[in-house]
Amino acid sequence: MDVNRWVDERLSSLDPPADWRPDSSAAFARLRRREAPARRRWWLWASLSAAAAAAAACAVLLLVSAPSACANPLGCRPSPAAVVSAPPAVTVSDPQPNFKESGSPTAPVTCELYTDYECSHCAAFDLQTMPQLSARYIDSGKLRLIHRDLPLANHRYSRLAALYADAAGQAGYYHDVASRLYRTEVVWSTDGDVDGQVAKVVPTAVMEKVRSRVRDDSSVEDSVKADEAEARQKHVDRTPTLLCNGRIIGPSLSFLQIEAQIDPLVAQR
Amino acid sequence: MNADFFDFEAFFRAHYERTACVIARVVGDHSRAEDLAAEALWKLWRTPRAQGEKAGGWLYRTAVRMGLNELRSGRRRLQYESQAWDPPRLPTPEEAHAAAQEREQVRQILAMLRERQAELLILRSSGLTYDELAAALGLNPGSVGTLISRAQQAFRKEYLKQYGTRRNGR
Repeated sequence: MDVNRWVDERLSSLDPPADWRPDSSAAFARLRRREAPARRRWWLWASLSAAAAAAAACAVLLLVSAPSACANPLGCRPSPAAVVSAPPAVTVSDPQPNFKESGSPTAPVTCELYTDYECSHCAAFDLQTMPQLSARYIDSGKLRLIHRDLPLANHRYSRLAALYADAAGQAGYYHDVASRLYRTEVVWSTDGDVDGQVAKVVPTAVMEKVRSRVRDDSSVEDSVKADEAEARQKHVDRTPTLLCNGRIIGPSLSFLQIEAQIDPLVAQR
Repeated sequence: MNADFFDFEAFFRAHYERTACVIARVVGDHSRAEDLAAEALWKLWRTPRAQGEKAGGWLYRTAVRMGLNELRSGRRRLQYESQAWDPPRLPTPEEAHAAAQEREQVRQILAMLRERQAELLILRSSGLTYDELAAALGLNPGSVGTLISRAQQAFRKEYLKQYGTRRNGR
């Protein structure tokens, strides 16, 4: 008696029909649709909590630092999430030319990060790896990071998202908006409402300016086109791509991989 | 793959079909298997500690457990069978009935076995290698063969106890 064969024969009765092919694309799309409302609820909850915390913090500052509410006005600038429920009235600042750059201009390593706002890998990078990159290299003056837009043709709203981020960047809200767009990509890539997401982290007065720049200011579009031209020149055709001192970091963009390739560059200087 | 940068979408696309097939063996319904496969993958995304090198093993273990839980709970199972599983290749109603009965019996035996033994048999019949089985179930790769053999013995013993040698009687 061949038990192995005997059991296999019975278990083979459970084999799915050969013509059944579960469709991963359709399943992934269903999952995204299903999760979008839950994520919206989570964002609403998180935003309201953050708004309450920020309001409480500002109230404490007002009490302890009279007559001036804040010695440093930036100290009371609401967090991105806090402006969701009550965007404050602020004056629109002058255009900021270097909003896509962070880190010391004299850092030994200069990296360019090519991203697409509708790319889930870029969102994961922004969420998981960027905080580590900032803490380890940018904040310590070892690395200067330049963000570059590379909206991919197969992503319907990524160019619009890049325009909004750059327009908001000119008003001093680049990182707030970029972060919001990555974290809500699953929502706006479905409904196309980039404007609605940006409006949640940008004060109302600034938002009007952002909209006007997206609509009418050719320098915003030019900024995206310039990044695309850089990408073509450097043969970058996928996102996210990290190019450090002219070398593409990879193949993966895990922090361990980045560390292994950046540390030698830092040490060279 | 590294947990620092878990590419969920790529992982989903790479593992969804196989995960659905594993679950389908247990629950017997395509659409339910697809739902549970997506659920298992979503569970993985919400469990950061499961991401990384061992994500595949975690996923198949979770998938087969979800399938077995569904089987043991007995929910909707009869309804599935009538909906989706009768292969059109069986030419006569008698043969179709016998095949359906066989599947039902095999699933009942799987539901009665120890969880680990049922998991081994299901994942093995889904085509996982010994290494993949070891990773999925947290076993020593060197002992997988022995454990499968024991699981097969247990399956056969329980099957004969429940159904005797009727049907094919081999």
